[in-house]
Amino acid sequence: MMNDKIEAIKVAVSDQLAASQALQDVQDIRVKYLGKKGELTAMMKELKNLSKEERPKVGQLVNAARNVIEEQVKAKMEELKEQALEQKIQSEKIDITLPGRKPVLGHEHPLHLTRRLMEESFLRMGFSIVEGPDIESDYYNFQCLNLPEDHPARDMQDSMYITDNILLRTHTSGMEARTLQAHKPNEPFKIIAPGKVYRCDYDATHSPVFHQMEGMIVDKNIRFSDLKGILEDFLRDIFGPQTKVRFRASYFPFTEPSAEVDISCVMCGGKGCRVCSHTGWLEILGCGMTNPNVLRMNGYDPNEVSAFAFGMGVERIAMLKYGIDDLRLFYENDMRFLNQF
Amino acid sequence: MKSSLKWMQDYVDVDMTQDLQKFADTLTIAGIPVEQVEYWGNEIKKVVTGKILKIDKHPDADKLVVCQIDVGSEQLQIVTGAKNVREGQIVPVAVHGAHLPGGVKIKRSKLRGVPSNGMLCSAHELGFDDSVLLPEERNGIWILPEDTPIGVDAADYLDARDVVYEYELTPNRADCFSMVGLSREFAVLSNKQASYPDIHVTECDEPIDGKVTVSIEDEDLCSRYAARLLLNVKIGKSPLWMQQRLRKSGVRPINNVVDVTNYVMIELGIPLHAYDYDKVAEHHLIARRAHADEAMA
Repeated sequence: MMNDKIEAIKVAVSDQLAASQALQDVQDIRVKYLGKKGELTAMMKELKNLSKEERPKVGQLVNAARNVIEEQVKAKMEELKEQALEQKIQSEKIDITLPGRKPVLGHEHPLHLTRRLMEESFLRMGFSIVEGPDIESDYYNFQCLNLPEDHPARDMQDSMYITDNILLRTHTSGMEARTLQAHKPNEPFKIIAPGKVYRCDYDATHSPVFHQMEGMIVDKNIRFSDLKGILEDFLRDIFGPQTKVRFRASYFPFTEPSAEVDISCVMCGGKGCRVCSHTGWLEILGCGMTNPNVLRMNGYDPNEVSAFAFGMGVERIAMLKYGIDDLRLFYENDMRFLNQF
Repeated sequence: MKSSLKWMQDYVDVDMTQDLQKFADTLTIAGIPVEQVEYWGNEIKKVVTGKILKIDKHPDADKLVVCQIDVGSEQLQIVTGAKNVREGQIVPVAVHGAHLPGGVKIKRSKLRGVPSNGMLCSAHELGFDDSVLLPEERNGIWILPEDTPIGVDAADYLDARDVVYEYELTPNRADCFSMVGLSREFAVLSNKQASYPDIHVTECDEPIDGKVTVSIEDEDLCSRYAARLLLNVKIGKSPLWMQQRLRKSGVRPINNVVDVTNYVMIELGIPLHAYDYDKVAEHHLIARRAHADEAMA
């Protein structure tokens, strides 16, 4: 009877060991049968209930069973340990023939790229770059540029005033006044002044914040032909040597005469398309000979020197050069857009 | 600012056979940007003036009437749903084969069983925008003046065929906010001569003293103020030619007094206003600044 139990335990252990996958399970089996409260251990305790003759026989069988179980447990544990090691080797194997991982490089924002190209073009022509404050005084932004206090361009709806005399600059033209005042009277210079400008205007083609680049040359005998030459060179540099350029009479308070400059449409080459409203031309910048009042108000003598100035939107140039059709793409930081530059 | 090129010919010769888009570009390059070139009435064909001889109710339709129209060379029967037609009126008649703006072609047809040999036209159907028509002129048939000749080309009579330039002028060219101002630009750019209109004023014998006074209190803002008194004014419609010129300039004709002030402003660039003599206190016009806290009625 006890023999049967012993046999049953041996079979049970065998089966359970075969089925176990983890070391912990094997441990548990060992404890279940050979531990302090184990089944086989319990059998040892029952020996005292047996007769004198039976005790040594059954005792031997129990010990034999114990040995067999111990060996089986040990074998199984070895097997599982080896399996685990093999798996570890396989999973941690490194294919050293694989190529290295590329480091992630950033992308130049198209506005920055365009601005840089424009700056480089002018630097090659001998211009210097100056920068000025985004928060500007009414004095530099308007008064020094021949825009008296009742001029419509000063309408509160377009300009963002912080106090009566301080506003977010509406154009980079204030740099013309600042640069004139920073030099000795009638001292010649050749500058461009890029920067952010602010206007209260928000729709599909306007942003309250955008970028402009101003330019100005002052010297003796600066002429309109100089203005035309510099701008034609610049535009062909940015848009390609086959670009046609035309000047149209226009008006700005700080230049006289004033002109607006068109380039032949980048989409259709001048034949006429949707982008250029079938005119073949795209408006790109404003310019003119600096109004003598502006020179005078900022300490220069218009009888001694003459000057020309120009201004253009960086976003506009970028959109035309790269075929970007929506202004808002510049400000949304969508990587799918930025990755293309 | 809009200018009818036909009207411009009063002041400078405008060659209407040249490429008018190209001439518009010439103006643009010179600093007078032409935003839009509008071709008016070119599509209108076979619309004549006709007199309504008789109006009968339509036998089968409450909302239609049957008109007998005299178009000079013949009499036509035309069915219409318009409510403002009366016997004796002279109206524009689109006969069979007529073309109207927007690609509309008119054919003889039957309306609820009654033959109709054309269509009576509203101002809208002849291409005039609601903005230059009075409310009552927008929906009904265009009733022409009593002295309109019968059987003539209505598009010609109404001066409907024209080319109109619309400008986007820069603030430094206030001189171009008038026909005579623009005529100078036209003249220079086409190598012609511009002429200022001949102005004759026939004054009556009565002196103006005691009837109207004008004074200026703020001479720094107003250096000159002129007024003229018109007596025995009868308010009515202005002549058709003036109405059409105003319409082509984007102005709605209202009545003869208002229309004249607008016409002179467009022609010469001098803004005018007409005041009702009886409503001006003491018949005294004063040019002055507003007082502090002054309310405007």
